[in-house]
Amino acid sequence: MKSNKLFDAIGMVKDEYIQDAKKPIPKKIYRSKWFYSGIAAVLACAILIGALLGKLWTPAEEEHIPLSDEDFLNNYAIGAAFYPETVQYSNENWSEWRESIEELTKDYKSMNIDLDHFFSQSIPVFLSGNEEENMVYSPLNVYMALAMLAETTEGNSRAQILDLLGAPGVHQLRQEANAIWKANYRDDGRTTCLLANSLWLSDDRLDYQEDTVGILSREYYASTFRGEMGSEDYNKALQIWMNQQTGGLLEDQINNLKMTPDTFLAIVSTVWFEASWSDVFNKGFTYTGTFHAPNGDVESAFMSKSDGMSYCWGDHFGAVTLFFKDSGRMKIVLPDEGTSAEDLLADSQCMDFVIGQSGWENEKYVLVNLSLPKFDVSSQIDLEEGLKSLGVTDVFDPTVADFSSIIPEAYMAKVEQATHGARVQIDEEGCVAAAYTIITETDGALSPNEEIDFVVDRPFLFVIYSPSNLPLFVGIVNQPQ
Amino acid sequence: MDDHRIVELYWERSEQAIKETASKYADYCYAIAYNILGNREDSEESVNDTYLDAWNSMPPHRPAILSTFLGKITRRISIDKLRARNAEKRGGSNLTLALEELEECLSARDDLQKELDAQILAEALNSFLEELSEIERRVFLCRYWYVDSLEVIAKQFGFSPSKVKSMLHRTREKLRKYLEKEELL
Repeated sequence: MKSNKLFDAIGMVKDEYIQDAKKPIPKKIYRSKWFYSGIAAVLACAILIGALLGKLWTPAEEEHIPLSDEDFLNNYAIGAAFYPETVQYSNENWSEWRESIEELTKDYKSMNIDLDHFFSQSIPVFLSGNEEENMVYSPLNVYMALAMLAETTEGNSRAQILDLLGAPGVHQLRQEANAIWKANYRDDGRTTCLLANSLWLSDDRLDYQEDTVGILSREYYASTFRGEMGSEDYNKALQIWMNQQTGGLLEDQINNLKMTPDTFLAIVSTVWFEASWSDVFNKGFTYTGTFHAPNGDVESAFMSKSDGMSYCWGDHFGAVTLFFKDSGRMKIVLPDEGTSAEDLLADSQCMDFVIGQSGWENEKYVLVNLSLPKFDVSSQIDLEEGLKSLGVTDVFDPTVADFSSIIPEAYMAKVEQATHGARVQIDEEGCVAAAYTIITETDGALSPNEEIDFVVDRPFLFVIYSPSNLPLFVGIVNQPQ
Repeated sequence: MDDHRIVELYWERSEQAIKETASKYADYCYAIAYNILGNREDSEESVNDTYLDAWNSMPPHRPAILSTFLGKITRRISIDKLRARNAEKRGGSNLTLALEELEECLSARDDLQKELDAQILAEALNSFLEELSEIERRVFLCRYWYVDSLEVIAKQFGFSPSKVKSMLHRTREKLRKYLEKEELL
């Protein structure tokens, strides 16, 4: 064991020494036959939007509904979404896997979809105003739910949503949403990124527009359910479906959601993202430190590593990027001293950085001594006021709301409640963590001649980007745990 | 294809990166794996795993020296593989012998402290290697990084095997004293 440690350490000596000692001898081709998998990050998000002829979502009284099985859910299913075929990641069928990813992303790549307006407008609106609490928001999730809501509306109700989403018409919106859905769909045994949608119809009504239901099912991959609105069992089915789609991470929130007898339609959209760090954190380097929360110092577990990383900065912030294995990444945006995370939401330069999909001018590759608190943050946001401030007002006003695309004669209908819940956890764990640690720390990357201590010990902003590089989750961490 | 372009291919997520890597560095990695594992099938598997690990590592990494970047991966994977199969049989492989030799650098009664961080040790090793002559350093790394046999090293440097052996012995003794001085033992 003693010599093993020394031997391991010898494995980490300077590259130039290793290179000097021997020259490489190239030639053969081998094919690999197994792959690594692991978990270091688990993320989940759910959003609920309902349009109704009365009420839609109301919080449950203190009711506990236990989880049920698939059969229970199937009692209400009238149309299951058919997801695209994906190839499980392995080295044996690596080419097929790549081809399946190319197939899923080709529409998105060819369409030049611009979501910057929606992201830059909505992120500050939904994250601001809670200076002591954690806030998490999934722009992509809300986008998908709003796109589905637009399909059920007509007239000015629809136009307001299209304006916010930056789509000239519902047809184009449909194409874009479909392309975005596919480009961000991963269930290949390596990365899990599932955007699931569903429609919940009432047994009492027979006048749903089949065309619209068909479009939502086909283009948005929405599963369809039908049952007795307000009944305990139908609510239970809804909660089962949502918990399944979010890996149970939002159970506390979801089990408090109910449809009422007055609900005529519920639109539900969820996101579940799970990936492991490309470079896991060494658990041995995690230490207990002080996080300067807005309401006082708290002790927190800080993951740490020293590594060559891309460091970006703006007038009022610095940021590093951490990559997930194979796809997706996470930016940690730390406000400069004297600037709050809230301030950054109003900083247009910072918003450009957050939503930017390409390079950043103020960027350099340096040795970063990173200390990042492990965090598990969640929040529940009532979207109504925020959407109204973003110009989506008619669907909340029963005197003008127009849902004729889903129900031809809907009197005094309105969106009763639009709720968005999200939770993000990060830590250093993963079944391959130990195996990768040595590589991380012995990385033969560039020899950065600058060194930066990036100590995330005060409230900060984080952004998680989807496989297609869109902001999947944005949040403010005021309390790491 | 030059290394810079191969690294770019990884960043572009092009599978061509794997093919180019295999084309250029398969034997290099295989030699490292075989020195540690002493088994063709396991060594080939380590090389294959190296490609996948490289694929997982770039991005975020952008290695300046691709060969050593890959070599480190192969070395780690091979060591893990060897440990996993519990190949502690005496006289089994070059690694077993190399580990036995390294024991000399460690005092008989003191263990390396459990919490001793491998990175700190590696930094100390870098400083130690810097103090060695170039030949001593290269021979040391051929033996303990690449896990070459004494015969192979002798052939590479044009020395007799006994000269390599005595040179390594002296270097290990220096290392032991250095680690003691640094209070790492």
